[in-house]
Amino acid sequence: MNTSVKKNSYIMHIVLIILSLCTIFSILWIRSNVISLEYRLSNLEDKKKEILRERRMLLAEKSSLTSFVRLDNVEGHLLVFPDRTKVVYIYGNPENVVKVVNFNKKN
Amino acid sequence: MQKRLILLKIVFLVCFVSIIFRLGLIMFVEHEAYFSKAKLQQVKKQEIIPKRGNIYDRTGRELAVSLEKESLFIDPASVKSDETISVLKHYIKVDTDHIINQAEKNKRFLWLERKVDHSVVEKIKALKIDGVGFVTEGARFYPKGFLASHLLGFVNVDEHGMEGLERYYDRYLKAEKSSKSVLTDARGKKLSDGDLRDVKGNNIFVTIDEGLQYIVEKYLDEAIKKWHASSGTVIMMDPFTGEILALANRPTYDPNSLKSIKDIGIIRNRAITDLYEPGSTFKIVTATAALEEGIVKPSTTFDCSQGYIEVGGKRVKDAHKQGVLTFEEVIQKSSNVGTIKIAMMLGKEKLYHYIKKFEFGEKTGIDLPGEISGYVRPTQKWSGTSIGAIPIGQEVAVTAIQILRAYSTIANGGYLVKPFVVSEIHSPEGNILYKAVIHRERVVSEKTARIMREVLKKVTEDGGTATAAKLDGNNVAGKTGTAQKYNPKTGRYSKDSYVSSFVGFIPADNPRIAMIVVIHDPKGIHYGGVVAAPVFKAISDGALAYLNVPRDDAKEKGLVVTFNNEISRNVTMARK
Repeated sequence: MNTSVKKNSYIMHIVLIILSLCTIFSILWIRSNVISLEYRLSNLEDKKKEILRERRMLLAEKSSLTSFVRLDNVEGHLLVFPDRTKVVYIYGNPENVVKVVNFNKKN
Repeated sequence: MQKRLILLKIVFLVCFVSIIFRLGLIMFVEHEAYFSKAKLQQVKKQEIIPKRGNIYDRTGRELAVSLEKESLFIDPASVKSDETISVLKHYIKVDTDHIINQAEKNKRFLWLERKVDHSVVEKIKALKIDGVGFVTEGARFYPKGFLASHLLGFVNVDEHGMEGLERYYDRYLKAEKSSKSVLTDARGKKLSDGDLRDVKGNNIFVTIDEGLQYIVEKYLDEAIKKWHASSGTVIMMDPFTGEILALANRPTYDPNSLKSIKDIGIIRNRAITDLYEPGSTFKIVTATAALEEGIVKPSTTFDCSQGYIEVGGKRVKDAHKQGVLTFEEVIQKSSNVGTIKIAMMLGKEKLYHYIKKFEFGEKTGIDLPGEISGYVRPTQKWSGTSIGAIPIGQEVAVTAIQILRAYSTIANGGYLVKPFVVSEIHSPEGNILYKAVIHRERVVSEKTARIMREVLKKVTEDGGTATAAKLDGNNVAGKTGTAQKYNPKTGRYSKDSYVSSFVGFIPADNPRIAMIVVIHDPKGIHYGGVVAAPVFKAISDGALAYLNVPRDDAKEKGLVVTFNNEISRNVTMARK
């Protein structure tokens, strides 16, 4: 009986030590994981900032390329204003107005 | 043996207790001191690059945006050899003497070049030069280049507004410098704090339209080139609200490359800062005043057959002898004699009263920097010849915007409007911080305005001085102006320096646009009807097409389809 209690107590000690070690290891492991995640997040944030910066640059470039000055000066003169003798002005209830007009057919 | 073991246990216990005690001391008693020390090592201040708010046109197209650029600096003290400097000289301008001078003074920071081009940055970074580094800064970019440069203005290297809207609305556009704390490890490597906030200024929406602005600038350029003129201005405005739809001056500049500006005078917004004698365009003040006071009717006649009139010993001539003219014809043919006769009937006090009613000699209050008030002498300071000069636009100094505002009054039925450029200001989150309010005040009656509209329509019809402003499809109302420039050196009017102008509105019966064209020093021909009126016509043609304004004869030509409810129902039923 006495030997059995002693044996149990010994096992408990071992288990407790292992558990403690595991806990310490887990804490350290989780902590290091959190730190590495923070590094990764920081890198991603930098990347995001860079992409946003690039986006702003590209939007500005797009705005510059689509300016009226450019459109009118490129070959083929993309900027053409409508000939007002060929524009039909439609007034009335917009919900029921015919929205497709075919100019290919006469009349 | 047992004793030794107990002793060893006691030693271990004492050590353990002392460690626990020390830990407790660090954790609970000296916590603050250690915490602040750790913070100093781990937490670093990082500056957030402030971004100036954007400027958009009335349709939301970007006119000014904020980007980021890198600025190059050097640590003069750490520059070991001249080789470093000579390498940099391949890419940027470097003042070697200045760097050496600063190094001798043990200075550790010196800007080499602010806001360097991206391609140059990459090349310099690849060289990995010791003592040379980059700092990211906000940089303004104007995607449309030259377009609306006088209106937008520009910022200096530190992003402070220096001209135009950038200056006038600087307090709204600029973003305050800000910083945040970032966690770093022992090597200084950054850890995420999840703080991605941006510091941005407010966004501004202006009343101008890129399309209209382009049309205006295109034809102004052509006119300046054609007439070899020294400068020119065009302003387009909504006559009912005072919204500036386009504003352009020549010569101009590209706010993206300010370094290329050789003459600082070109940055001036001549539309609001330059005074000129308006000449015949000012005659509408005299005519409107006479109509409003009931002194004349459109059919009242004036004998202009002499071709000149003597006022205070000075002879004022007409360009051509005209004979007997009606009130309408006086304006249509721009007769100086007839206008002076109208002014004499009116009297100088009443004329001055109307000049002030139109707020000449006062700032219009447009939201742009540098506006000047112009000059109109009070009647006490009028000379004997003034009644023969002021009614025809001499002895008064005005800005182009003031004249345009006077014509807008006729266009809109008698209201003097306050011109403005900014319609809304939005916070970075999109909340509206400011919305423009339309200011208008009645200065002449609806009846007078209506008569004047009819009179001004005649100017562009056959027999008028501005047939070149006549449009195919819409009536144009307006007035030409040809004024000799005053030469301060001789104290006389110059015989070879003129201001040619045309101001009017379209469509005359239902105005959508009021516009003024002013061309300074055209070479060869100088008449407003020949120099400025065709510019007005060309711009109007483009602008009306761009704005989809119907022709006056659209109904007759079958270009207007009106759907009433019955037709709509029939269409819907037919579809079914």
